[in-house]
Amino acid sequence: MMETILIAVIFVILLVVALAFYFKFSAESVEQTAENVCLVSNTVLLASIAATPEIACSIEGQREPCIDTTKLLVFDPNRDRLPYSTICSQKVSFEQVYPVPDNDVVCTSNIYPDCTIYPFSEPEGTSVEAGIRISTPVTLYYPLTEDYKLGRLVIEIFP
Amino acid sequence: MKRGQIEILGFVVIVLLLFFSLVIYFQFTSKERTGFIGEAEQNLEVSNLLTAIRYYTVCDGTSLGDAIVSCANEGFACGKDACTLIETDVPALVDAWGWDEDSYTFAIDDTVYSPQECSGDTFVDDYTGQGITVRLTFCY
Repeated sequence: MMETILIAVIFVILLVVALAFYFKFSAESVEQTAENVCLVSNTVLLASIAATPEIACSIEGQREPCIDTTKLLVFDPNRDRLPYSTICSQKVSFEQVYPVPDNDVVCTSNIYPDCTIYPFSEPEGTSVEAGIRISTPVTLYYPLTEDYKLGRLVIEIFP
Repeated sequence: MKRGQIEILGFVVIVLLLFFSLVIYFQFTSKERTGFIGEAEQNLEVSNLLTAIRYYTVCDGTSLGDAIVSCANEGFACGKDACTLIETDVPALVDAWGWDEDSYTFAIDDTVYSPQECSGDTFVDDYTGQGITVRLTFCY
């Protein structure tokens, strides 16, 4: 009789430990999956955002693979939502890379084009802590001078 | 121990083995996904950088793409030898982007215009225009 109770107790303890491990791993796995889905959706965003008609270049009716910097000035980064939704929040901005800028001035219509950073989407409530940064090169177009410069599209993700 | 108790212990061992093999399986599959994302980002980076090089304005009304065509035809761009312009401006752009000079190769047809020719595993993108093939290779 005692042996049966002992085995039953050991079995229950092992079951509880196994279940605890399972749920701990399961929770971590769900978090990891959510982070992966967030990264994948933002990588898709990284690839597709430059083709968004609201900011893409259109020269004499022909769409070009570049970003029209004057169109970026129109967006209010705190108000305007991204044209694509993802499961996590993110900040999106464009920066001039080459010619290497001698300042880090955020662009507004008053100081354009003597500026280098164009915030595109920075929703209120976005974490102030540093997130995961992903970036890709873009061509920035300046219609006033008809110049093309090398830029960087930066997405800072907060999973 | 009775036979029944030994069977229960055997069952517990099987359950635990199954559990740990599932843990190992899920860890393995989650690592594969991360690698896929990195590869997609790197491909996109090479492709977009080549586009940015092609469109970059080197002087009034002349893009690096125009200079590349002139270089292939042994011509001039912005009052300079077009190939010399390529040899200085492409590395400057790539350096500003953050790539080391031994991590990429920039070639027009079969002629290399980057400071070095890289080797190893690669991500490659190219475009062809006016009979000229321009290729950017990133090595890692």
